[in-house]
Amino acid sequence: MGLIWLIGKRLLYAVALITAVLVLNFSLLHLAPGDPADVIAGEMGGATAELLAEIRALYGLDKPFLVQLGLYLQRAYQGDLGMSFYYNLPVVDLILQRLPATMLLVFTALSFATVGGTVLGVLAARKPGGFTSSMVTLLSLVGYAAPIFWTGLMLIILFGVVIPIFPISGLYNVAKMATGLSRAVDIAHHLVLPSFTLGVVYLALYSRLTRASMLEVMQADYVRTARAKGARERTVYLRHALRNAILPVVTMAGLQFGSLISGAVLVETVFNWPGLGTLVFESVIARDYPTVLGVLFFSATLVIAANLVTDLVYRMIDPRIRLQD
Amino acid sequence: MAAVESVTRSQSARRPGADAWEIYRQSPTAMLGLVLVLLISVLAIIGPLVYPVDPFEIIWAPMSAPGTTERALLGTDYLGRDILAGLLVGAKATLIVGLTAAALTVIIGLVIGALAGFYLGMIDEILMRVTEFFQVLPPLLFAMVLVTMLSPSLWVVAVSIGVVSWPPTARLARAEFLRIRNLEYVTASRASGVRQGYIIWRVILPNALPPLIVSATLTIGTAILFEAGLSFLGLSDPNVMSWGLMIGSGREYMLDAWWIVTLPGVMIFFAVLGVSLVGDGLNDAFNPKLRRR
Amino acid sequence: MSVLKVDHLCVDYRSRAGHIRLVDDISFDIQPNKTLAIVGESGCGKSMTALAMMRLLPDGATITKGVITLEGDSLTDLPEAQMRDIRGASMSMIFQEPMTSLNPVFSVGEQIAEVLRLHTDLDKQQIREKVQALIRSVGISDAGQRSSAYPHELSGGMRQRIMIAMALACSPKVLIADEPTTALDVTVQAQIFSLLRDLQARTSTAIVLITHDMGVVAEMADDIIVMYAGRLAERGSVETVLSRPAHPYTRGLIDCVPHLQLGSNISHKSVTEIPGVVPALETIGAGCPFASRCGLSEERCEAAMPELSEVRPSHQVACWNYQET
Ligand SMILES: Nc1ncnc2c1ncn2[C@@H]1O[C@H](COP(=O)(O)OP(=O)(O)OP(=O)(O)O)[C@@H](O)[C@H]1O
Ligand code: SF4
Ligand SMILES: [Mg+2]
Repeated sequence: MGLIWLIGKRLLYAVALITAVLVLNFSLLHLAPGDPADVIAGEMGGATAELLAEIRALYGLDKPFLVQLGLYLQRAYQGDLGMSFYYNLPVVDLILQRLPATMLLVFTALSFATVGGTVLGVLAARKPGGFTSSMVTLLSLVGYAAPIFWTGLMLIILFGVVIPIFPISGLYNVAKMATGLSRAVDIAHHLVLPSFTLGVVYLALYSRLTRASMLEVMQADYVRTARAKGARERTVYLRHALRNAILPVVTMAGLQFGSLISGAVLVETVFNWPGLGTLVFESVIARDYPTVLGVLFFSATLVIAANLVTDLVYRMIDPRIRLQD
Repeated sequence: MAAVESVTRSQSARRPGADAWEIYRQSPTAMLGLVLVLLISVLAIIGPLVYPVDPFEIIWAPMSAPGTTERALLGTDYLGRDILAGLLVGAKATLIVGLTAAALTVIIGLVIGALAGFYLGMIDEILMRVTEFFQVLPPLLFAMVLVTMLSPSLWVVAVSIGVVSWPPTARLARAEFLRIRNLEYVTASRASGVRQGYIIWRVILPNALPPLIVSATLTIGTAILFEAGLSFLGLSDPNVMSWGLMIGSGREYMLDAWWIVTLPGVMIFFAVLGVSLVGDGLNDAFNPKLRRR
Repeated sequence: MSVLKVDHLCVDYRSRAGHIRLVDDISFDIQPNKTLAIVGESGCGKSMTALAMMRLLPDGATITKGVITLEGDSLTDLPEAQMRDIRGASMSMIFQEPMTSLNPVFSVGEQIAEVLRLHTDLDKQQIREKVQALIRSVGISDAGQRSSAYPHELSGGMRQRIMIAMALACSPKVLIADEPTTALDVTVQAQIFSLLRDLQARTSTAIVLITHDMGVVAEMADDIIVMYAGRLAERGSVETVLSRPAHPYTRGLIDCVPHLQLGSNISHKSVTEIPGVVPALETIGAGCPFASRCGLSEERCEAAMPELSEVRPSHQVACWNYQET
């Protein structure tokens, strides 16, 4: 009962946030310089008179602002984010085509970062002055300071020219026309560099965070209790300490989902990965505002969903907040 | 009022000044960061004076490798423009936008966080909801949208970066204000009827400064990265040379001419590295107890 | 036949700043079904002695001299793997801080079950039953429900009961209780002590009880050792030491507790405190560490550390000027 109530409350808040994003989108369409119809047509005054008239009718651009907003929200809730006049497709269709590639990239990178970061962090915490620990420090400095798109380009030079073992562009090899398993392998092969580029930044961060958190937790009284029970050092680390130490990493991963998507935009552009990032890049260049805003909306929704999931995961790990709030 | 002032002063006397510098000095990485930051600032300020070459001018054969011609020590790009000139002039754009954006981030974040943490109640509730809303928008994507919808000028880029990156600063400021507002000397000055504006900015703020300074420093690094990302995507002013722009426009040629994208990236790397090392150093200097983390 | 014997135990702490002796030449032994109290002011090395017995000293602290034997087997040079089999099984420990000594992310039943899994061959069902029996045995009703509770859902007294259940799960020969009630309020303290007494009557476990409360000593213990600045000040049966203390420090400690001053009117005045503070361990010289606070101190006290000498059979004291009372 408590849990259902809680999830219900969270969902309601999520809907409110999504609505707020839609309101922001709509306001941006109006704030952009020029006639909104032109903005929506995306051609800055070059659209045909019929098209403009059609847009005005569709968006009710002659009606008061609030009415227009109401219409916009209503259509959005029905799954209609407008038309991309550049691609000549409904924005939602366009986005749904590209969404899987982005999800694949983002979740691969996220898994790599969280799992790898945790492992590195735990190893580093075992010997605070040791080799792994220094590597974590170095990695976290380099991972933070190197611009992600540049890291990607450097990897392309390395693995496209110097040691050409990974494909450097696209989602799969078009020429191969592979199907089934070999297609999956092909995609996985293409995924290596982009997901590494995107993930390594966060891996660096999470390893440092895990290390700090482990070092702190290892001082806790319950770790001493675990030892006093006769538990092996391994068990003490992985069962008693890690489960507590992972909490800040979960929080951080949730908070950073938006920045992960931002990073994906750059990584996709660098590796020609056919996801939302390349879509938004192309639409920005083409001034295709409905698509640009559509991607913003979808990404924000992903972040909201990710926050919900983080919240649940956190509650699963930490019983102390299970029934609060 | 005098009482409050003396309280404030006695608090700021504890503020790590000389001590912090002592600790800072002893960290080799923090000093390396400082050196990097100073070096890059000097390059940005006097580089173009000492080496007055127009980075947009075609001066030599395209894609000449570094060291192959005296006309362009670090080689030329795909059009035959001088890379060294680009790096020097680009430093200015990158740093100016980075600093302005960071300043905006801190100002917005500080004001929102301070008001929320000081007044609590409704104001806090509303401001925190707004902050949460902004945190839902992927920052770079949101900045891209803002820049596209407005116009690609340095100002717009800086403001956009500020608008998308303030929430973490606001949360930090709020937490600090919450912590400090309940300390004895603040409660005392509140009870003695001192104006609230005075308490917020003159009593609480000075004591919240150390963590905020650290966060502001790190924000500069993030802002530089944002600026670089936006220029890389071609979303900044195309008439202003910047490191990101050099990488973005040169990337199609990079397999034949690695230096076109590598060198500006190295500059960004060292600029951000320098700033973050300074940030870490300040953090250690302000919290000596927390060192080694 | 003593179950546990500590012989000339020394614990040193090494750091970059130098090297100090936290526990200096402590010896005692315990019989089954008996309780030995270790008393002394804060920082005198009681916990270090206990942790040394468990071989759970914090980083930097090591046993540098002495032997600890459990039922005739030396623990001091036992390989870590075998020591683990002893911890929680033949010898277990409960700590001062019930609030933080349990792992917040596991249910208390699970934490008790872990000891059983580590040291017994019971199957799941048997473990579940044993856990419930243990929870009942420490005086907690509705054991079924409580075993699935998380530490934060229980009061401090409850948590300490759970710690006791955990410590007694494998019927240890020796139970070390390090100030088990310091963090609890007075009524709960009394409950915990009467629980410990009942359990001892049933299991004949030897208990090492660390405390700085002479009242508790009088009620609980058979023998007592008094520690000061890492050294033994006085040792003997509780009966003798409390009624006829020989060391000025012990007398000071007893004077702190009003109702122990037999035959005198309990007035506010009679409650004294030992003047002065415990010297920092690194400043202790060759002489008696208590000299700076001792009313009977004289020249030779500053010059040389008094040897442990026999006041009467099984009553020893380390003082040049001890007084037979
Ligand atoms: N982790 C540690 N590292 C180094 N020294 C320590 C550590 N913990 C305690 N000490 C030092 O060891 C000495 C003995 O401490 P110990 O904890 O044994 O005292 P105690 O008698 O248990 O006191 P209390 O009644 O406060 O629990 C003290 O001087 C203390 O400063
Ligand atoms: S040896 Fe001397 S200083 Fe130490 S307790 Fe005895 S009388 Fe006091
Ligand atoms: Mg202790």
